Amino acid sequence: MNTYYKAAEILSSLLPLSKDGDSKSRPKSHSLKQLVLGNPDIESGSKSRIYALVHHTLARRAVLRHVIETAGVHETERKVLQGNKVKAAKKKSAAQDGSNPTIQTQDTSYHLLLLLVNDILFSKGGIQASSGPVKDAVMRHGTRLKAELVKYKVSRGITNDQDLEEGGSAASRMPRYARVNTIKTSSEALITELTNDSFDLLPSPPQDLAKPPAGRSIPFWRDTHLSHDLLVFSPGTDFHKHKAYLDGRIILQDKASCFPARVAWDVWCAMKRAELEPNADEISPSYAPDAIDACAAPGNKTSHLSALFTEHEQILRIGSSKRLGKAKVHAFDLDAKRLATLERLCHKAGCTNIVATNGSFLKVDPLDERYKDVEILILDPSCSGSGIVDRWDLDEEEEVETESKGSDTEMDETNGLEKTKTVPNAKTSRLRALAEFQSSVIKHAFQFPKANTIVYSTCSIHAQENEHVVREVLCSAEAQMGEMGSWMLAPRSVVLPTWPRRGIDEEFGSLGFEETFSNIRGKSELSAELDASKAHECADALIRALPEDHMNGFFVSCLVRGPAAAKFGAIDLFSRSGASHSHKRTIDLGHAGETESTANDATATKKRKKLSKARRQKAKTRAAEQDLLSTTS
Amino acid sequence: MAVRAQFENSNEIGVFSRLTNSYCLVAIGGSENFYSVFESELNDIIPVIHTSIGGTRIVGRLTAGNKNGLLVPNTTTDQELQHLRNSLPDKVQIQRVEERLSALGNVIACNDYVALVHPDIDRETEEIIADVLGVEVFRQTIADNVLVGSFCAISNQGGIVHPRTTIQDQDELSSLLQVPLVAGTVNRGSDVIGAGLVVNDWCAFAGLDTTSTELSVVESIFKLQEAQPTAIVNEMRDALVDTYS
Repeated sequence: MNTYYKAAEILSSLLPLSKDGDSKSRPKSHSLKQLVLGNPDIESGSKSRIYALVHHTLARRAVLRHVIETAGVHETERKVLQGNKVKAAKKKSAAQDGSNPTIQTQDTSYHLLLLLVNDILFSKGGIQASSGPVKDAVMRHGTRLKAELVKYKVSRGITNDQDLEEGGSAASRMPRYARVNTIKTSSEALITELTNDSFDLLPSPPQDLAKPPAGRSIPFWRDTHLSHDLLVFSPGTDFHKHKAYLDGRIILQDKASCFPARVAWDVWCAMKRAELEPNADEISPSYAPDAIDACAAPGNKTSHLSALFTEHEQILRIGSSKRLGKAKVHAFDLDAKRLATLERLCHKAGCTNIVATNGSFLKVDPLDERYKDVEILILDPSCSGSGIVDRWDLDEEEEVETESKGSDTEMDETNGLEKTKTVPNAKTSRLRALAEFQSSVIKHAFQFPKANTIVYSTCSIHAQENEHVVREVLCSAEAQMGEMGSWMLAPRSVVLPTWPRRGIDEEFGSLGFEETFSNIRGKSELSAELDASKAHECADALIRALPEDHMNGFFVSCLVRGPAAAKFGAIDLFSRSGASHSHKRTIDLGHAGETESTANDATATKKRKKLSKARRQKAKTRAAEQDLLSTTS
Repeated sequence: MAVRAQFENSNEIGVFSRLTNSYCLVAIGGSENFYSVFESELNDIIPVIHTSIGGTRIVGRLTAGNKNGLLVPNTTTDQELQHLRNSLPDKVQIQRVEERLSALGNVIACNDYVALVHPDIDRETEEIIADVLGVEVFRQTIADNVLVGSFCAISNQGGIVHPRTTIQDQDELSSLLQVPLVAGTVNRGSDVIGAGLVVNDWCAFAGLDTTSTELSVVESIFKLQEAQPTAIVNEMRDALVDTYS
């Protein structure tokens, strides 16, 4: 029974019940893995068992709750379940001799019940514990629980137990993606090796990606969009003991996370080409730049980018170049443990050009000598993860708390209308906080002096973290500053043009982002709604992916700047008539902001100061840009 | 094979008998007529047992059972229990149930795999049903009637339910029972199916009033006709359709 008590404690911190009303007290940041595998209180022998138990219970929590509720087990047996828990807690505190004065007063009886019912219904051996009052109490309801489960399945037309697991079925239907590590081998060499080893190359992807034709050998095929280095295998293909995986020649990585590095490299190359010779598609850039991966761990994207650089340099080595072998990828991550994983994985992949640093990207000085050659930045900041298939949005079940954030009050002063807006619940305020963070990461990236390609990606499907963030940073003053001109969106023609699912027009074009970012400084004319064609053009430059595309939900956007950017058709938000006339920009952010603030006399003069400063800088930027443009044209 | 029978001028033969795949209970009556109808159909295959339950003749309404077991109410006397024990096959478990709803035949309808029970039945009884009869137990109503045992008759082959059961309910019941169901009547339009009809996997007994139409519905849903041309049509329909389409 002890296993179950421990599992119940873990479950209760992961899955707060609205009726308990004390969900506030739980630590938010913990994941199941942290709580079980990193828990010193659990002996290592039972870790995997507890992990599996809690994992499956969480996955099936909807059906378990339904079954328990309809069978009325918790009401009938509450006393037994609670009584024992209190006893156990007392015992525990007695054993520890009062060193732990705060006995858990939280009622975990419902969680315990969830676990026990899960084992009665789905585990082969039933409840794995010797009989006692608690087990007997739950077993008394075994028949009823089973009947309710059957009824639940019948009413929903479910025949398979696996389909009861949330996300479980979706995850098992996802094809297995494997990226060829081009540092160690080439796609062609690997395909030859695999076809000799019980794999079967299909000339084109099968009709249904989830169900490739069955045969004796395992089918695989080249991915249609990332055909250079991504192979796709049928769902459930096991690689963990495969030779190519063990020696780092293939890297198991979802298709979604292969996008950023590929996009960054494609766009950068396109830009260099445009710079060198406007009409030559064949010319390849004569060097590989330095790059930064801002939130790098576990390093799949980093090693992908590093592989692309290495590959390019190998091609260049045939000729000769002064910058050969010098391109570095700087990887940052806050978490030392995760960074260690990154170093391990990158070492396995044979990447020699990665410099891993533990620390916040936001604290990195952009003007540091080390980063003076950084041209590409890959930003994949923390996000809600709502696109990840094999993961549950537990927070959505939380009771909606009516709390208003501090940043809202500032808004209220300036604009009385804002007050009537809907009070944010826990989820939207979380999304807002994430969006603020994401936007600050991008704005920090803007400040690297030579940066010209920024790829921003999330594994979220919420527009608040995607389109809204991109729109906000493009409208911000930071995007307009810098010697290389303002940041623009790389157009669809260079951002995986064949990928069909693009950004959402309305989310980008409308003013939805202003709701997400409550503290936008100085509303301007620029933040007006975009007209439909412009919105479409912009949204078309963004990449979205959903689980329907047989991968995790994902979002990728690419921002560029510099004289070459305009040449290959980067989209400038502020030009009314398309990218080609970007230098004729007439709208001034600072100016528009000022008219706004003078109209609102109530606003502090602080804001005006800030804006005029921005305007001065802006003017300088514009002058510099005009110079640049005139010299290039 | 479906047969008509009458118990002392009553057509409600389900009240006075309990038929399963491994035994048959009949009430002790004034004449042996009723008994001999069962005896002639079943004698060589399963025991036909004369008994009373709690001194009454309504054995069909007071008991519930299938090939695995027999449940009797707490009114059953020790003597009756002993007699049943002696007469039933050894592998059939018999259990006296302390249940407030003591007309077990009215509150439990079962075949060898599934039991439908009255929604208010005791939790302990539910467990006993599952253990003794070896079935999955579902609390159900039939056409909003709680007396599920009275308003349906089920075997491992099929079942007849109350004529006013909605299609939706029939579908739900049918997927719980995993057998085809039909809404119908017995005894010339009577909706108390359980009282007018007893059935197992190879034979059925209906009240004497049952019309031939009703009887043919019974035969077809419980698959009681043997080697009739329709059997070929039914089993080979798909193949025939494929061939001639």
